[in-house]
Amino acid sequence: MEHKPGSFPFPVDGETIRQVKDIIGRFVHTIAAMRLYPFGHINVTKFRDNLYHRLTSFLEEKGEFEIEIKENVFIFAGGIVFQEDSGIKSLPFLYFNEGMRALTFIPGLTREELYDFLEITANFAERPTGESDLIEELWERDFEFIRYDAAEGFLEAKVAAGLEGRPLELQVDRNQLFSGRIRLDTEDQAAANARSQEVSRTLSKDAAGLANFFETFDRTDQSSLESMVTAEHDVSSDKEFIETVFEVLYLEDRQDKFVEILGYLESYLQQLFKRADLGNAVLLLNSMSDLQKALRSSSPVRSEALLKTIREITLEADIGVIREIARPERVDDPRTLYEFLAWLGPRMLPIGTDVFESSSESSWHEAGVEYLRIMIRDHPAETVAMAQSRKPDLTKTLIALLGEQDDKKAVLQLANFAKSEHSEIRLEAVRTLGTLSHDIARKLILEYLNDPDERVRIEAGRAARLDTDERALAQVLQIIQGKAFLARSSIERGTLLLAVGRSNTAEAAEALKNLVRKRRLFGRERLQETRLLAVAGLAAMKIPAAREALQAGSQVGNQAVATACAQALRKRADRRREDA
Amino acid sequence: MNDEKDLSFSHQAAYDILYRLYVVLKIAKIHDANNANFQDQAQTLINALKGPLRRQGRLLIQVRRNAFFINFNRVRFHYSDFHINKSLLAEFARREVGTLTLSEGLDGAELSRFIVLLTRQDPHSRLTFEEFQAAVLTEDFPHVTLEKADKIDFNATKEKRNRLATQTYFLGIAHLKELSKTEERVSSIHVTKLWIQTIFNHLIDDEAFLYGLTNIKNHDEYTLNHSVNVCILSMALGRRLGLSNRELMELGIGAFLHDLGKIEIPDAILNKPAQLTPDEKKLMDQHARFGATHMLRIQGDKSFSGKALAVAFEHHYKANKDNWSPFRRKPNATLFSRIVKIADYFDAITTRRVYRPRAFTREEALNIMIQNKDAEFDPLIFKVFVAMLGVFPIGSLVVCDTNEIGIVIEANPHPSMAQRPVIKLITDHEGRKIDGQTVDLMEIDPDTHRFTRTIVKTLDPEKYGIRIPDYILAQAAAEEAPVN
Ligand SMILES: [Fe+2]
Ligand SMILES: [Fe+2]
Repeated sequence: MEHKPGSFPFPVDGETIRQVKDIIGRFVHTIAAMRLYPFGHINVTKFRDNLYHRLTSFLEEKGEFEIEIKENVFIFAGGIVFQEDSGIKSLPFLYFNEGMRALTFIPGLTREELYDFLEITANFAERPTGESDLIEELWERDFEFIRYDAAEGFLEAKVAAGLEGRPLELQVDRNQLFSGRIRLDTEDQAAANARSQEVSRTLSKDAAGLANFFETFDRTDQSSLESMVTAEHDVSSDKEFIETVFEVLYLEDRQDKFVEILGYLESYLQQLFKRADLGNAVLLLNSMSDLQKALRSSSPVRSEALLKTIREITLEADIGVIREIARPERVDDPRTLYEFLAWLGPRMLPIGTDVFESSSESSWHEAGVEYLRIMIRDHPAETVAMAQSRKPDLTKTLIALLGEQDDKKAVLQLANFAKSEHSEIRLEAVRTLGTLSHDIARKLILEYLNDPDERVRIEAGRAARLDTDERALAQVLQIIQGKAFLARSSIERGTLLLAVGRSNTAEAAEALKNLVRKRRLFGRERLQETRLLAVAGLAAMKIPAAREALQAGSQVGNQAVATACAQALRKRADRRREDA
Repeated sequence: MNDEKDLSFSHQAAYDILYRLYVVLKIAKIHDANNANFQDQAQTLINALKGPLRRQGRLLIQVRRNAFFINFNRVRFHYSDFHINKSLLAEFARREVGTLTLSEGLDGAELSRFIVLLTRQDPHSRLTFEEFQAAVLTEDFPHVTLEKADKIDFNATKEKRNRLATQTYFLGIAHLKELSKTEERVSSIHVTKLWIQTIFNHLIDDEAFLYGLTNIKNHDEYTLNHSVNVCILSMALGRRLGLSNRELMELGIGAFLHDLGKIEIPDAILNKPAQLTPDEKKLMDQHARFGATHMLRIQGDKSFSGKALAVAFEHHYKANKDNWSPFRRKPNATLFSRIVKIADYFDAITTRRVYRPRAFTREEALNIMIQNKDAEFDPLIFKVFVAMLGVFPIGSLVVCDTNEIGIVIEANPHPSMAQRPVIKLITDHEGRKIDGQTVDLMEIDPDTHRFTRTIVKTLDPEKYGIRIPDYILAQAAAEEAPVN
């Protein structure tokens, strides 16, 4: 960009130069302050506002503020207005090095634009070289009132190698262009003549074939085009990248290239990690496994290479890095985060379970349950090991999920919880075991019949299948006949006696009959209650032995017990009639 | 300044004023001041001006770097009314006006008189700004002031600008050559981006000249030259569609590198003067994918541009999905690929190749593309493309009803007048080659009240040994002053 003093629309006098120097000084200081102080610091805002005022009043008065950029200096009207020789720390150098040769502020400059410009410059100066592209960032911001020029000379120097010493411009021989003669051939001449005649008659309405295509855009066209472009604004370049690369990979049958591209993808994934872009990370990982499946039979070698890459990614992911990026506030959709963690396998369980335990919102809870379901299915031991008394929510969910499995492995996992010192967890475990049909589950339930916590024992009593499981029945009968039984709460006693009744076995009827008829000197009240509960147990029984037991009970001397038995008998008779 | 006074303007109001101005100027060029239509439109314009003039006292209509500002508010144009911007710019440039200030008190009569003066055809040679300003002062326009455009608005001379654009054009070729040769990853993507910004700035400065440059074809280094042309045409198209700067950059990179994969195709196949065997064709068809892989390599770890990558990969995808890959997730080719596909096709068939001994003229090419449009292209984008190039695309060799032969160097900004572009005459009416005038086919003969010249036929330049690019380049070389 060359500058001729005097080509300015205003006189360049001493006062003007002084003003320019002042503004440039403030400009440089503001950027320095922005690099020094945190965003929004008073020093920064003060400098910035001052600069804005000086600059805009200059623009109002003079119309434009243009400086030329040389290696270490800013130049105005041919004279140096700022110099800084300290190499990479120098602002002129920073711009110069990026190819900028002139910087112009135009009237109308808004605060927003000026501040953005300062910020982009300051941020760029902070970053290590090669990390970003100043020219690109400025370009993307698309300033209206700030213009910068990147000189062709800069490009030329950069491209010099490609020029191979040849001159840039084609030499044009003007003599050759503008001498000689063109004679139309007969065909062209005839066509031209015919058309000329037409033209002289009509004042020229061209009827070229193309012109027909030339109607202007109607409303539908216009709105279709607009929505097409708007839709494009929303398509992320990352998504486009991932989808394209996988299509390329699918078609790439040269193994070395295939592996090379996988390498690019791995470093790209690291970039996504850096940017905490979990959505695209998941898209990439899913695409990998899709492609792996698609190639499995047609191209085992490529499929194997993919598997290897997937394994590397999951094994090598740094748990510290992942913990940093896998934070709920980073994603809109909880499923994205969990899907991401699921992808990276069991090593990320501590992160996933921490997130699960700390989020209470329902969408998060649901997504978390889905995550744990997948993890339990694929890595049961590692996942169950995450259960801790500190995380009751997690543990209960894990137990419930194990229940869904209903196989031996799951049941054995559940057994671990029988030993938990947390009664809540034991309670959840026995409840879940009760829903399972597996033999081992039934056996496990029995261990809870003598649990220190009453709620657990009650649950175990309910869950035990006394009708088909002789061992269980024997154990329960032993309990109800034991001395300690009377000491248990009425609910527990009631639950067990009812369970015994429902077993519908002769032994059970016998045991209940004995209880009904039991007499004792001490603790009469408790015994009385127990006897009545035993009547209820008998009442629930559907075998003839129960009726006999109740008849025997209706003869006892205790009025209340006898009446209860008689009532139960009547109910049985009613029920039978209805059944018949 | 805009802190103290409220100069804010709704974009619609600003656009409205420029639109009205455009209509009035257009009519003024064809009719005189007594024409009822002209009077009506002048009145509509004054009505649009009144409110803002009352509120803000004055209206500054400014041209800065080919953009319009009204009281410092930039007015943006969309593809469908791009011609309005172009046409108004041409009026301002013709008179070298940088700022037109209208102040409160302006009425319909004064405005009409001014419009007539502004659009009047100067009797002999064109008036300089100073002469025109003198005319404005003598004829007494109390509410109209003019300021000359400063050097930046219509930067340097046209020739110098053309020379810089040409230089940039060839730098692009050199740069791409370097990129194509490099086997290792290089970090030259920065240079590519800088080049794209520079060429794009030239495109904004002088679209017509850039289109002219795309007539340059280099048969030895076909792909390099072709890529630069495709990049220019694609970005011009993207700009009309209203893409953001960020998007234009990705589009530009994709278009610039779209055929990079051809470096893996042996020259014997690339330049085979006969039809390719099925195997050769199969290999040739893979250049798009090879190109994508090369782009990955060039971009290295630093910055992946997904859309640019998609352009390289998809630029031969047909709109009818005939040749799509089976492992495809996307329902459509990306918008950028659809843009580049059109530019690519156009540039390819207008180039002579060993297997295509005669290149289609630009007009023929558009006609062929219209025939294939449904299978090959996105029909809407294609429509914008045709509108952009015009009935007689820049670089067309044409003969007029005067028997003079000329080369189209600028499209007519009014779509309805597309058959009346600006041409540079290269022969007189007897076919003698001359370094002729640049003439606007809108020009009306004052005696007959008819158009002075009308195109009656396009010619195949090759048939007459005319090398169009040389004439385009001659525009850049017209001024013999040394660079800098
Ligand atoms: Fe291609
Ligand atoms: Fe191509």
